[in-house]
Amino acid sequence: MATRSAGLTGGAIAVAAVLTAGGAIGARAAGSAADNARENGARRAATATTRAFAASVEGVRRTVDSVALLAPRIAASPTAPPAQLPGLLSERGVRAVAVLSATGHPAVVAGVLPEGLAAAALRADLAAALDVARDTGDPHAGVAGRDIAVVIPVYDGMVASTEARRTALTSWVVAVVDVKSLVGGATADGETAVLSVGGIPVTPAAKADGTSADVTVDLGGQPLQLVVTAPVEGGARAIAVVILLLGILGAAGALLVGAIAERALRRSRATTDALERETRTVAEIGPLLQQSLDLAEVLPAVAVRLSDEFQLESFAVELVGEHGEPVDVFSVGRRSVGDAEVFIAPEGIPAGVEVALPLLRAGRTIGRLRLAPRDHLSTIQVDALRGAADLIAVATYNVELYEREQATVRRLQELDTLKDAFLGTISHELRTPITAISGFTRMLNERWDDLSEEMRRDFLRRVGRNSASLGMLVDDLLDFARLERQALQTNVTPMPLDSVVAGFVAQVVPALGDHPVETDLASDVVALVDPRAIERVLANLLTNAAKFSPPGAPVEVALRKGEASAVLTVSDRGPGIAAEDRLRVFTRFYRGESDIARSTRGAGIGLAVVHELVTQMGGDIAVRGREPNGTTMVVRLPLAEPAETVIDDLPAPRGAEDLIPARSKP
Amino acid sequence: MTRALIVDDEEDMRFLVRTVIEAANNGLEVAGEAADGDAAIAYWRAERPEVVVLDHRMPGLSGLEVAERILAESPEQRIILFSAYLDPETTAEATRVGVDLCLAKSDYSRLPEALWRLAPPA
Repeated sequence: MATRSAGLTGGAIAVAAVLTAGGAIGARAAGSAADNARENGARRAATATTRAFAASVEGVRRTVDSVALLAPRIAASPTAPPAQLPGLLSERGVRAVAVLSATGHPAVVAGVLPEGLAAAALRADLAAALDVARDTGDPHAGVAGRDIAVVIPVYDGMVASTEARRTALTSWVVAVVDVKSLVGGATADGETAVLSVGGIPVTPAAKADGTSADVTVDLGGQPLQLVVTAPVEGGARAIAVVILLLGILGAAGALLVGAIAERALRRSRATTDALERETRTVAEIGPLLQQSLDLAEVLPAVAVRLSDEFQLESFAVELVGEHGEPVDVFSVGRRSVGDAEVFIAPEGIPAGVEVALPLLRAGRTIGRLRLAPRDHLSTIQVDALRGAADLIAVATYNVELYEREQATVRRLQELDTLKDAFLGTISHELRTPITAISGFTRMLNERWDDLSEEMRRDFLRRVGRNSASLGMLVDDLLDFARLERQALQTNVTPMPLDSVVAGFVAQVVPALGDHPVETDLASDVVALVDPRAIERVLANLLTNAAKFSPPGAPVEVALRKGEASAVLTVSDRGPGIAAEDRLRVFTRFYRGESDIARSTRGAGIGLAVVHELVTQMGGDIAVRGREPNGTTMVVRLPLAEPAETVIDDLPAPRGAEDLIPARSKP
Repeated sequence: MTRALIVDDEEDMRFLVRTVIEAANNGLEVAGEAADGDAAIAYWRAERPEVVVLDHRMPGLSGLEVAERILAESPEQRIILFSAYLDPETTAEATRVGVDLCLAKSDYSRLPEALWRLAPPA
């Protein structure tokens, strides 16, 4: 299969913020000092809004970046989008993700399209952007209804030229930006804001008096311009803008820019100072978290720092695993029990009330901060704590990634050991029949005249048997090599299973030494199978059964028709497989932990091949123990249903009798 | 006469070794055969053959485990480890245990020579 690639080029949707603070339009003539002060206040307010807007677009850009990374997977299966997608949408500024296939219909994959915008309209609205994105390979923004959408091209394979892009395009992934919240979230009461994309306004034009500021940021190759007008009549507004650059953190090199804009009125100088101190504390947490990969060391320090600075009664970092199970808790102050409310209230956190702030990373909740303030915390303080939560999330996620990497290294080392053992075993396995073959042929050559007719025949039988088992081993190795590069394939047709099985058992019996095969085969079982695969499966199961059987003990093969499947069993009277090993025997190189398995021949690849072949034919395989001892391997294969029973009430189409019957569910 | 006990889980290999020894004749004789370690030890106790020809990879006791037990009872016993796959670790372990000689199965034709050398027929 060709690789899929999505248009994603570094910096293709980078924000190039050009803040034109103080770009006053229609400013009043400065009449007096008071007027001047009021006008400066309004200008600062408008500028704060443009800054907040730029920060929001940065958030949108990051979400779109993440969507672009997922685009090939989203496009490949729109009905089962990647699990992290909904989490991405809930984070920042993107309200819906849709797929427009190059030929087919549009489909909304996640989120909800704005009211009045149908999925089908996306294609028409975005026609120009779709073309640009397709030809350049880069995400490109366009206007859809009253919203902005960034379209991401997805290609079949890697593409280098415009011509190649046009032919290789399979679909576009569309991220619909939530303009209303983007603009509304940035503007304050009384302000008006007009947003345009590439010069086209997407918000209703509004006539407003006051002092204006504007900002232009780049999103998906298009300039987004926001013009904000703040009324001067409202009086002087004390503006404090705190922008924090919370440095580069950890191996992922994640850059977290936390911008906390204080635009509340009537804040005293003292409050601003406290605020600055708190934000500085948050900024200092970054380096603190970087000091060590040992969370047990850094998280308590962070907890103490935050709880001192924000006067917290209690503070805890709770980490959860991939399925929400608690993993670790680091706490300061009184230890709380029960569930704290997840914080949503807009007016801050009341004194003494315990709340939880989620720790989000890569689209999943990796834990939460649980805290209770001694005094009321303002929204700005809560924002600062959210910034801290982001930093803690990044740090713990990095640690998690590091630990996962370490686990992968350990797994690879284990696999390496297994492969070494495998090479030893396989050498032994190959040499045993080769030695027998060369030994007996040499004997025949050198001592032909000394040997009786009967002995010559016996030698030849032994040569034949050993070449058969050598051939089987080579087949296993080849199948295994195919399995390793995922090229092991089966081609099923309806076949009477009893004759396939009986024919093959007769062939393999000589290779089983002194173990006779007892068969009990139902004759009415027509299954969808690949005869070659059945041969490989039986060869492995029968030689295994013989290998583990006591001398002379028979191996039993049975076939019967189950509810929806053919059930083929191979049983032996060997020592049996320990219950805890039964699932693992199908793992490659795995040969069981018991002494018997360790010292018996076998490369540990046969059952891995069997499992793959049976699965490919739509069946399954399981191990069952026998009383008092022994093992039964149970293979279930799909029955070939007659076509008319599948089609049911519908009139049989012409030529239906020639159709390959539908495969029944295993 | 130098009598050899053949220990191998593969009937073909036991038969091959027997044929090679019998063909060489000249003072060599097969004392008996065993298909696993426990049978080998029992047979050895009863018959005390001059040399034990031991396969390494077998169900149950491995060849070296069998050698260790026999040598614990009789340190003078002559033992040949006759294995399809002789890696340096196995050879080193065999030397440590006190096995006299390691012979790869592909060198089966040298087995009579090895037997003569270890236990010259009286």
